[in-house]
Amino acid sequence: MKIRLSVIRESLIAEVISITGASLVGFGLVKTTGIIHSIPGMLAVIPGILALRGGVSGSLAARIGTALHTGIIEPRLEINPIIKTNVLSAITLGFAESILVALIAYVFTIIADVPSAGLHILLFVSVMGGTLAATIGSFTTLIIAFQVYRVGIDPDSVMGPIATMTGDVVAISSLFLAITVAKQLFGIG
Amino acid sequence: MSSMRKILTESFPILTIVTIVELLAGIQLEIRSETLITLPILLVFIPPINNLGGSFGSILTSRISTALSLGDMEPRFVRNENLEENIVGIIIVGLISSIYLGLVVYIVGYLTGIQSFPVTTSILFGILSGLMLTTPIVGVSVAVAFISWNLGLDPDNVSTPIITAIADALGISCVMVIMKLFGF
Repeated sequence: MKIRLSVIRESLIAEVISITGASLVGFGLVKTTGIIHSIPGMLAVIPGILALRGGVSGSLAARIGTALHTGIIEPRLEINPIIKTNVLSAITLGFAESILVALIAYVFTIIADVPSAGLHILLFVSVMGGTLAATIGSFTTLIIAFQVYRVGIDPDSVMGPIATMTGDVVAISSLFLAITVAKQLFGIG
Repeated sequence: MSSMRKILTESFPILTIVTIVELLAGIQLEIRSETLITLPILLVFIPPINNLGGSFGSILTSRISTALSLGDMEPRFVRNENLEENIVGIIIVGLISSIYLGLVVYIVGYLTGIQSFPVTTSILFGILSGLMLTTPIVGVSVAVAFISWNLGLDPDNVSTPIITAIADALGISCVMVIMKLFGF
């Protein structure tokens, strides 16, 4: 019974925060559907890009949390080897994985026989949106983790849902921007 | 820069698997895009349903990993009080959260003027997706925790991305099944 209650206490708060945040992201998705749908195949790319930011900023948050606890970095935005390595890794991963997202999404649209705007456009939007999201997401994650640590909260216990939530917002906005640029550049819609 | 190489080589394979699973979810969205555009409230449901599964899956996995490290649990599917208590707790959280989910989506729809379902339908939608998600996610989380423990992988780096990706794919599938049930 003790274990059961501790599970409920620990996770209910995290669930409430992440469900509330995610519903707002859902609203953002509705507001951007028009523009997302104007590029055929784009809807297939969305979960891939959203997952990327989770994997990239989630593990960045975990590594920074550990580095703060062990005292190898100070909660300040400065150029030091640890921060540089972590941020560069996050951005490199974002770049490499978004190429993969576009390639696989394109193959899937062919297999499922749904229309797509073509590989070059999916690639452009995915790489621009994904890299932008990883870059902005990394710095936001860093700043929030430092801030949280400074007020005396353990980043390990709160950064998970927070990194996912801010990551979602950053990713949707970056994609929105990338799609807008692609539409201008390739003259779609 | 050797540690950058370490981060990249550890993360890349996992992120690749995760990406493929996520895109399986994405292609379902693309196939049903017309319905999703005409009934946008369904789109509002997708991120919270994904988060619901993802967060309780990763909580369960990390609790099991901790219990394994402390020696309170064996990595085998046998009757075990600690494991059962964790699972019961997670199922209760899942049910409460899914009622909350239905309510919050209704409120977001109401406040933002997106045409929504009546509040009872919205909550029913939440409960149905919660019920459909909980069982498979519990199974997958226990399996991932045991497998990564047995392979000696750090569950922090491996389990969470895998669980969230599976939860996303299952979550979107749930929305699709419910759309069929409700006749959209």
